[in-house]
Amino acid sequence: MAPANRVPDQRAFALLILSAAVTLVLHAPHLPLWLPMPAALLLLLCWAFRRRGRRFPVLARYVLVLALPLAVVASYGTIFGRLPGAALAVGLLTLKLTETETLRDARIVIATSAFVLMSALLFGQSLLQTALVCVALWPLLTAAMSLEPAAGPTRALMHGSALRLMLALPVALVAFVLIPRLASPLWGAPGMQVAKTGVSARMTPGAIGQLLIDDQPAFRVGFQGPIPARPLRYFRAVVLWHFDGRSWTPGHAALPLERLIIRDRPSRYTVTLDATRQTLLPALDIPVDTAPGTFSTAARTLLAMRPIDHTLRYTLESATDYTLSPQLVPDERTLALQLPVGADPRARALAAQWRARYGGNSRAIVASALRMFRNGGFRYTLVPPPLGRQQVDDFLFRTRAGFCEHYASAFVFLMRAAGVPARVVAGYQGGYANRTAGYLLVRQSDAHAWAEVWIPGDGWVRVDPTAAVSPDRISLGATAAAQTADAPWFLSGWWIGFRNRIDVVNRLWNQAVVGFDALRQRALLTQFGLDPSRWQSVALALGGALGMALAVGLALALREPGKRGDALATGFQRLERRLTRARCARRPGEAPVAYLRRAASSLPSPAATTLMALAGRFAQLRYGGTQPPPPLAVRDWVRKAKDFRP
Amino acid sequence: MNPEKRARNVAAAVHARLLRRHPGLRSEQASESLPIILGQRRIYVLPSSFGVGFGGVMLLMLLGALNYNNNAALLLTCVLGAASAQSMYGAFRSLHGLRLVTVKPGPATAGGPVRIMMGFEASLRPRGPLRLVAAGASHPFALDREARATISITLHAERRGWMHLPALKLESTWPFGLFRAWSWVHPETLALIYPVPEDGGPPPGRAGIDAKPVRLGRDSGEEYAGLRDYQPGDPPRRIAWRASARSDTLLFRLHESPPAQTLWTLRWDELRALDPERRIMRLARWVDEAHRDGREWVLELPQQILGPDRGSAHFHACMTALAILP
Amino acid sequence: MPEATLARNDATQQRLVHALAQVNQLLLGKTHAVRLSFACLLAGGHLLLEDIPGVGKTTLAHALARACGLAFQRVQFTSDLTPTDIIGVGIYERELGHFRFHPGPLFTELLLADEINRGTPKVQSALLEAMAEGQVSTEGETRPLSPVFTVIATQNPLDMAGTHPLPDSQLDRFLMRLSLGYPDAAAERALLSGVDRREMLRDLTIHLTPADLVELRRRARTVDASTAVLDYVQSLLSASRAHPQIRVGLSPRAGLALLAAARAWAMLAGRSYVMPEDVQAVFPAVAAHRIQIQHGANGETLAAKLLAEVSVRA
Repeated sequence: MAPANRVPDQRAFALLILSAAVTLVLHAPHLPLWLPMPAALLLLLCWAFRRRGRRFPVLARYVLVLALPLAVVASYGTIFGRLPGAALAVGLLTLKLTETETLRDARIVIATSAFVLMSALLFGQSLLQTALVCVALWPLLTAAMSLEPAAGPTRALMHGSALRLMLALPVALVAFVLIPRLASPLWGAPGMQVAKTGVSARMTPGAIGQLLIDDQPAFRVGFQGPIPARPLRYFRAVVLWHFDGRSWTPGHAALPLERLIIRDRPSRYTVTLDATRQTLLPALDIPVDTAPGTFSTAARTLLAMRPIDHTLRYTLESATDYTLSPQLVPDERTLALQLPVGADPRARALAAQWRARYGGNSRAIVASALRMFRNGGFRYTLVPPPLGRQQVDDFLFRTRAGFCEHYASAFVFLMRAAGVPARVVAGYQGGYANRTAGYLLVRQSDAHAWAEVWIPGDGWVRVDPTAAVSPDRISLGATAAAQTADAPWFLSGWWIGFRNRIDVVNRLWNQAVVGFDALRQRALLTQFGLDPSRWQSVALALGGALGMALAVGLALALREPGKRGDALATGFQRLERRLTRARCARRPGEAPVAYLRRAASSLPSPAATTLMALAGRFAQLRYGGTQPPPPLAVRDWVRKAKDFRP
Repeated sequence: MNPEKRARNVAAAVHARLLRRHPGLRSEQASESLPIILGQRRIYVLPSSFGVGFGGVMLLMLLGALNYNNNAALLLTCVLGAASAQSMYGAFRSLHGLRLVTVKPGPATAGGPVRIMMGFEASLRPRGPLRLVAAGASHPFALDREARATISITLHAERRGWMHLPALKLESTWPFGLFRAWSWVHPETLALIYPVPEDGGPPPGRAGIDAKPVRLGRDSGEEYAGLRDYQPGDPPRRIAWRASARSDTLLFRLHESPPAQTLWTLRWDELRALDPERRIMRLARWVDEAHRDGREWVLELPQQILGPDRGSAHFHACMTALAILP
Repeated sequence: MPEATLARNDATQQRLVHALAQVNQLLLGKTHAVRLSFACLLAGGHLLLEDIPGVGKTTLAHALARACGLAFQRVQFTSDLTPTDIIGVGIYERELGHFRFHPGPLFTELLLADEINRGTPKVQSALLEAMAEGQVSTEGETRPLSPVFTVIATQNPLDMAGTHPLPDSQLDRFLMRLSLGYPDAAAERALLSGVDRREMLRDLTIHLTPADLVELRRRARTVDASTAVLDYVQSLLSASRAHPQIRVGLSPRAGLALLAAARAWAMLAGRSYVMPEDVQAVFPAVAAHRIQIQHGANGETLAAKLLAEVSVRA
């Protein structure tokens, strides 16, 4: 009786392995390096063992089961948390396949696979990832079907599961829209620290500039007016005042809001920012107001009240022609001239030289520094050589190679050493203007750092030393600028172009699906006359929709169609129904043609002749030498049969 | 009447009504004549244990997706949920409209297995594989291209005579095994169980049974069947002298000798010493023996006399008569 | 295409129709049985006639042989008939100095084996073997029979005393089993008032030649059987296997026989393709003696029952 003891056959097992392998592949990007290859190997071994009709060695399995948590702890220090959890789950799924002996085991593997598949989406919910995970349900469901006894050929199973997945999509979409979203999480902290790259409030030029090759979209900007020209697209995220010789940080002084005089009409735009787990909000230089839920720092950068856990949309106005802080308060001046004690003597000496030559002429000092970057043998690269202890000196006089962070850092250092108030601004520059969809896409690789120097009368003036070294960085973008020498192959030009163009799909996805939170759900449901504030009405809608889906399913399930594709048979059946209604039913076991002829003999003459002709033609089509019968002839017969009235 | 008792009565009434309306719900239903058609009234669908477990996992996925506000995961859960809900329809559709058209018991002797062949038919639409559960054994099967299937199940035949078939359960968990649809059928066909032949015991001749030999054919002698060359060792009295005179060699007459044919008369009354069951067993063994030896026999039972005849038709007639003796 | 073939060989077809008509004239009121026996001949099968004496079994065999221009031999089976009596025997011929084979009645084109159940099993099996193989092995030599060699065996179902009925397993050597039965009143009247059948037999025109028969058999094999017909044959077979009153259902060989007979039947109707009606027409004759039935049932009745129970799908 107990079918749970049945052993899954080789095909079912192969399908289980396949779905586990797909799960593994989807998790591979964020698994520790030691896991994916051995796990894949283990799956292959399981398959090979099963093919030979042998069981996986029990001892080896026990060793692996013991080793897995130890290895996870060794990698992460814990087995709790998202990353260790994923590694553990994938590992356990793989190990479960080594002891899949019964139907019950196989079903456990299927349920576990489904869960582990879903957990892959915790690491990113892009359209591609979601689509891949949905496609991964295909082998999973096929495996479930293959566990049924007398399941039929594999091709039919693949076809059947694909069909069921397709049928599931519309119902799933309705449920997706109607399932009430939680306003606050039931447990845990959803914003667990993520190794999400992005502009942070700390800049260490010596560290590896991973950010610049991260191709993920950072945010998208929809402008109400025209999209500003590329050189004007500076998005400030954070102002860094304090330098400790290695890193730049915002510092901790409480300063008054800097005064802003604008000279053109601010442009209005909406930023859609992907979750960053930080509070920094990029804004086009220079924002004139704040959005709800955000506030402005003294240096006119915007901060959110809470770390951004979900895709966030905010609307701002920015001016491009402005004067910022025409007067410098003493506290600000002190901060803007701060330098670490005793660091980088050679840079200081150079700055002192300029100071001596130009005196108080800040512009001339800036110009000479930019001239030095332009003509002093400096080079733009995304993979700079490592820097020594005296970071700025090492960069300026030895390596002379780096990217925006290096230049901004060294420039501000030189300015401050020469007595010119200066600060580092980090944010994004450039972006891809998607003209067709009318928005600007800014990627993580568009992250940028530049400087602002305070010039009497002009206030804080933006100076981009990177532009002096590599004008391409500003006109084309970081990767394009670095391409000549050392861009990875996969970031070649056409690929970037292609990716930029298809980003419109991603944007739609992010807006429609990923960003469909409680707020958007409420807005959508209200449009359909539902009152989302009352849970009853949402529950009613959800229940109604599911009930309707059930009813439609039942109606479909009760349908009994004829033999599909056999128009001749269908046509005959219609004729038979018609004759039956005319009191001439087919006898049990009576052959079709004999039946038609008998029916004809009981009819008055014109109908009888027609029916006899139909019978003869039917015999030729159904039983004649040309099989299958020519479709045109069949259609002709069906039409004539349809026209026949007894 | 106290309320508890009343409630019990009401529950019993509801239960009885339910069973009246849905005869397929229980296995102890009255047997039905063929063909048995599985209509929607008699098909029941409930989640299987795997379905319950899988539902739990999906609930977990749903809660996780909602908790972490992960819409992609929520969408995935919805797709999976909608896909697995189709298992309910798949299971139902596999059974719905199925017809049990033939039930054909094979030959069987008491105490041994009896093979029952069952023929199923359905409309031509595709349907999933099914299982027939009988006497604790599950027989998976699928309909062929012509939407027909013949499966045989093996039951245990307790005693000789007409055997009622047990109620059979037809079920399907197609396609994903998450839901189980089932229906009870109870065909009224009876299986004829032959008596088990006695093991050992005396042959009919020595048991005081009339075993008179009969000769077949018109002449009682051996029959001439041809000539061949004489070979040393052949009996000389069979040399065809007249034919040999016309040839150079000695010719030898070949003869046919028909097998000694005896008519066995197997009488119920002659076995008065034994109790009825033993008599039946002994007669069954004799009939079996006579049939296997290709003999001719007569079976004389209290109410009827079968034969004299030979061959399998006669054998089955005799065994049937023995099987249904009271 | 087969329609074109039919047209080209129209003359042969015409002669076949004439032969059929002639035999029908001889055996009054037996159109169906005559047609079936022609179909049996065209399908290359052997025929078993099961009937009481005097209803025209011998006449039918004779008429068939005559109408088709076949050499005819008749053997009365008795218990003292030996295999050599039908196969033939080697007789020493002094002037030649060795044995010469004198062929028996088997070496003909149409053999009437009268009262086959009176022969000993030995003779029966010798005949059945020859029927199956189309050749006989005797005295270490294999001799082929005529390419159109056909046996019409008769059996008296009532007078079974002292007979050896053909075993079930051997019955399917015969493509068809027919019984002629009594003629209806009108036919009987015509029979009584008409000319002596034996005289009529002598006056029969020869319409076909053995070569024609070979050609007709070849053409019968090329008659189209569509998947619809194959499906129907298959459902008949499986229904016979599943029927509660049938102990052993039809074998795959029975299926082939059924199809061959249906093809010949369709050709007799002048069609180049088989219809389920053809299968139904030959089914009782082909199937009834091949199913082993429960005690108390009748093969013909069951065959008819099967035809009524198995629905023909459009």
